[in-house]
Amino acid sequence: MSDTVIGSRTLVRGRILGEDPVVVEGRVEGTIRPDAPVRIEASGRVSREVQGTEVRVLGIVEGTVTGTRRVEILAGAQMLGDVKTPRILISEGAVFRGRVEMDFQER
Amino acid sequence: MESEGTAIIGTGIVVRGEVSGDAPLTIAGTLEGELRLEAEATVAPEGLVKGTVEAPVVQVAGRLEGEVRASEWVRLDPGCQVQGTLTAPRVIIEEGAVLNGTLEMEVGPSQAGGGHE
Repeated sequence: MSDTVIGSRTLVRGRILGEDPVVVEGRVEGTIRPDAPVRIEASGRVSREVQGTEVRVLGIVEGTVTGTRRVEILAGAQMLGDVKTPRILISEGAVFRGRVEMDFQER
Repeated sequence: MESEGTAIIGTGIVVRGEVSGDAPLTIAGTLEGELRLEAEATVAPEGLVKGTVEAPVVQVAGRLEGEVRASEWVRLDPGCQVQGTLTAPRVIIEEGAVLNGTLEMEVGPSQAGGGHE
């Protein structure tokens, strides 16, 4: 079965948990915390908290992003908040206002 | 346009809270909470929903515990397990579906409005 996709015309208020990848093309108000990669597409918008193994942001995030392996803030993304991860990539064309903590212990 | 805006809750994922929208959603993982769609809601064979589902059309092939309110129809596929209350103008229950609960088949305005039988 396909991976989880929160579609562009879908809003989730609450928590998204589990062990498989999550793609956000729509809106999530709450927590996304799978033990797997998370991708916030250009149309995606997340407020509050994202935690995954690898987190890629192309859309808008207001809140905290934790990547246990890495975080990528890519061109066109707007990241407003703090990032915790051992490895970070911020592309040209990304907007980032917040703190980065890189002494995060990889699990 | 099938994939335009379509949402999927995959098998390894649990969503707790409220989900809403106007594009179809398939639940192959777990949803605990409330789902309010202006499009078709599908609970896949491996899916589990605990809570309330409101959508024009609701198709259940997996497990559902709670309440379903559909303005058009509800279909329970073979192999599904449903516990709760189903409210809809039309309810289709296939042979092999398991339902423990209440059916409320209302004649709503959507039925008076026509469509095919």
